[in-house]
Amino acid sequence: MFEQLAIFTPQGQVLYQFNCLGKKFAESQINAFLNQLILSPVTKKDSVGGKFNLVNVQSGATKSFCAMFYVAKQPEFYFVITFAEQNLQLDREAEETLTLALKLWESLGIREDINENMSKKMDELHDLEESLAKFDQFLRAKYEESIKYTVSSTPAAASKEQSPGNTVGKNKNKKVQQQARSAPSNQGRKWGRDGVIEDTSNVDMKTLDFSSKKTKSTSDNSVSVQESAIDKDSFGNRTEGGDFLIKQIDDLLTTSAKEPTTTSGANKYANSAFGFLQKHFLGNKTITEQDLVSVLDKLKQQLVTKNVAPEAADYLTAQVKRDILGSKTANWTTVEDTARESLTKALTEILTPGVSVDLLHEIQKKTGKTDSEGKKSPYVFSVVGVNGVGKSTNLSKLAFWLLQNSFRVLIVACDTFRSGAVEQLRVHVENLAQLMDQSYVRGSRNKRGKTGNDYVELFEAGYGGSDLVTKIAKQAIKYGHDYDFDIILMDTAGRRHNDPTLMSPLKSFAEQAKPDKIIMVGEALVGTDSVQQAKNFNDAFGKVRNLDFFIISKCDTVGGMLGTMVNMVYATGIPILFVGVGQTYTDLRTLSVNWAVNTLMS
Amino acid sequence: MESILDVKVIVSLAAVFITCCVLLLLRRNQHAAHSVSRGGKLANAKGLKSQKSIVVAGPSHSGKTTLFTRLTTESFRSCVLSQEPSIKHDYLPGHTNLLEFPGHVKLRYKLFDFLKGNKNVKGVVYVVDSTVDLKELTNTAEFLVDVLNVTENSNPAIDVLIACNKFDFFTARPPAKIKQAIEREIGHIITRKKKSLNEVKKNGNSEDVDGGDSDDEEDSLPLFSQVQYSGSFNFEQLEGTVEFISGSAMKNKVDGWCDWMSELS
Repeated sequence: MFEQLAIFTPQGQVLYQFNCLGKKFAESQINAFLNQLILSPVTKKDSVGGKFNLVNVQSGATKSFCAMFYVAKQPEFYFVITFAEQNLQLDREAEETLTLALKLWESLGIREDINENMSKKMDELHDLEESLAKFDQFLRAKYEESIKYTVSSTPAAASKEQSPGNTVGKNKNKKVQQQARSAPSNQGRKWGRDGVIEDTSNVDMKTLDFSSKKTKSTSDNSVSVQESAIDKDSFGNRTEGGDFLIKQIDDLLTTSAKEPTTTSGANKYANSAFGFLQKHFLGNKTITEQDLVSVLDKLKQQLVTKNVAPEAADYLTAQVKRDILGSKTANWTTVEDTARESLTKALTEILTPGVSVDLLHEIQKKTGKTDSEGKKSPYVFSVVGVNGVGKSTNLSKLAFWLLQNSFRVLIVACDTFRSGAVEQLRVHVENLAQLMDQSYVRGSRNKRGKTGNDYVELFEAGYGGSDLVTKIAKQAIKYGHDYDFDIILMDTAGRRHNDPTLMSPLKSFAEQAKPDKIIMVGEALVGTDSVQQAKNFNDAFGKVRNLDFFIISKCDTVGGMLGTMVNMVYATGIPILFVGVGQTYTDLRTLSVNWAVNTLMS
Repeated sequence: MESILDVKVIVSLAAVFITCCVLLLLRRNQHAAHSVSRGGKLANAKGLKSQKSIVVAGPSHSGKTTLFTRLTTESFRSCVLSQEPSIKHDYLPGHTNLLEFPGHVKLRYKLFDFLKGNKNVKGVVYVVDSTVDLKELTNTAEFLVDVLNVTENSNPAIDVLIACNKFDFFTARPPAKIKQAIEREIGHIITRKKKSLNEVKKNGNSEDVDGGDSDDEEDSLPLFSQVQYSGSFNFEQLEGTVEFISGSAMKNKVDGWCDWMSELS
């Protein structure tokens, strides 16, 4: 049994809710789902049967659950079903219920009513109580009658239990099956593995005969039937009314299935000369699929020339299509302009961080607390990335900014592999020390015998294997704690993202060192491979730990081709915090989403 | 004779048609240039910006949508996290619309897109959950700082109502306490922001972004300069008035807020 079904608008208005266990509707569950949906990258959503999407939601507030959803367009609705865990039966049940809900929604004309309300600029739910009540009734009845059966392990036995020795019940059951078969999309899936269905299909004529007889008898006392149909509780009991209702629902569903075919004729309109004018000059045109083909292709080309990976470009153009297909262009606006605006929106949405990151606040919060000995625990950053992307350079820039904010910084050389990595950091530390204190003599050691001065210091332990890395990290944290440092910055060795032997030590490193923030440095130059880089690095830390943010380096070298930013965020959903725009210590900036989007769209 | 007349008719018709096309093309280009320079807003948003409006904003789970439903339909409905703004046309007399924007961090750009450079916003109702621990108001204050930066930049400055929602709860704090806590928090945020790294602007090598620059200039934050002189922040320093009124959208205690809104227009 699934947990709950909700239908709501993107504005947050819940139009319909149904909790299977009869409990109170839990908004927190839907909120957790929505939060995940907004934050998570598209790549993590699985689609089921090509129609519905499935999301596994894990959040602190609620226990983890699955959500299957469908987004209807024009106007936009979210149909969401949540259930405890992903398995074949629950998946199937959720899928069927969603299909049913969608069909009912369509056939009861609720969509049209809401459309009408919206066009009159009224509240969406105006005068909808009646049809929503009907929807609720029908959905419950149908769910109880058919879908629920498929979930129970032995459908035949279950149906007997519910209608013991009652021939009417049995026949009715058959009839429901028969009608379920006649509803086109329910057909194979619902009853495919059921033994009973084979019998009924062989005696097609008989059951049909029976059902017509049945309706005749029920229509005699149709007044009482109508009355009971309005009463929700009557569906729990196996009354004549309930039986009639199922018939009514199935009739609704079968008639509605025919409707969509009539709309295709309207496409001719687009081919006419007036349609052409509307498309290119006048505006006020309903956008069809044909209009979009060339426009979207053009937009995709533009994105690709800006270094956006084809995969991400496809996603973005799909978003645009989803957004504007079927909508009307404004006056004096071409389809292309409308699409461009929509793309701007999609880019803004993808680049905007999903969590607010105020680093200084977080650092202050952590270093503000002291333990029993009056010592604070330092805030630990670690920097990862592919070879040569500028990890050490950006780490030094970060250190410079933190030093300016009067934090004491310990820089740790965790790159024990590349020759000269430690020496390189030493030069950086000496530069920084000199910037902080003019009297600092290069090459000198401080009172603890390390490179650096009171402000910034280098922690090093030579070169060696991967086990040395975690050892250094742990020692450095202890050292930082003992000597009252605020910040620890760990430089790691650059590694190829597609080599598991190089990537696997990252997990143990993260588990042992427990950095507060793991930063990945990606270069703006890289192009399409950035999708895979970001994905692999993010996955390398295991299921419980993710990257915290990106620094995109070398942005000054690519001009307007900022596609890498889009790629990395697209692949992981992790925000970009800083952007490297030059070689000096001051060339680190926070990302301005507007700037990035404008550059990409120009 | 007739054939000549026909030719004349056809020629004149063609001339009219060509002129029309040229005119249309001109208008279209103008429009395209215009829309790009504004940073690409939604078609319908342009229409809304030219109408008077009151904006409901605030962090997630503070009860904005509940308040919106309460104000527009005078009923209570369960709601979930909003992803799109809700709009009620002609909410107040004088063609004033009521808009409610989502509070999720990733969707806040919609609000700022709407507010920036919009002269027709009469007031902002910033909904705050008054049951939140006063020490945990950082997120609320951060968002408020962003909102105030826009409202103060507008000329004249937009008035802000801090609607302390969920006042029916046992754990709710009085508005005066919330005000104090938020002021303190904003003070901290401003000092932190001063220390933060600058935003990336048009860099030397990148192509020219014509329209974007003037927008970026507006981001210079007026709140910062004020705090620089006085050392700490309080709402009285601001140009626009900021009022704190408690109430409850769920329990229909919204009179104070309604009065505030009706005084605006």
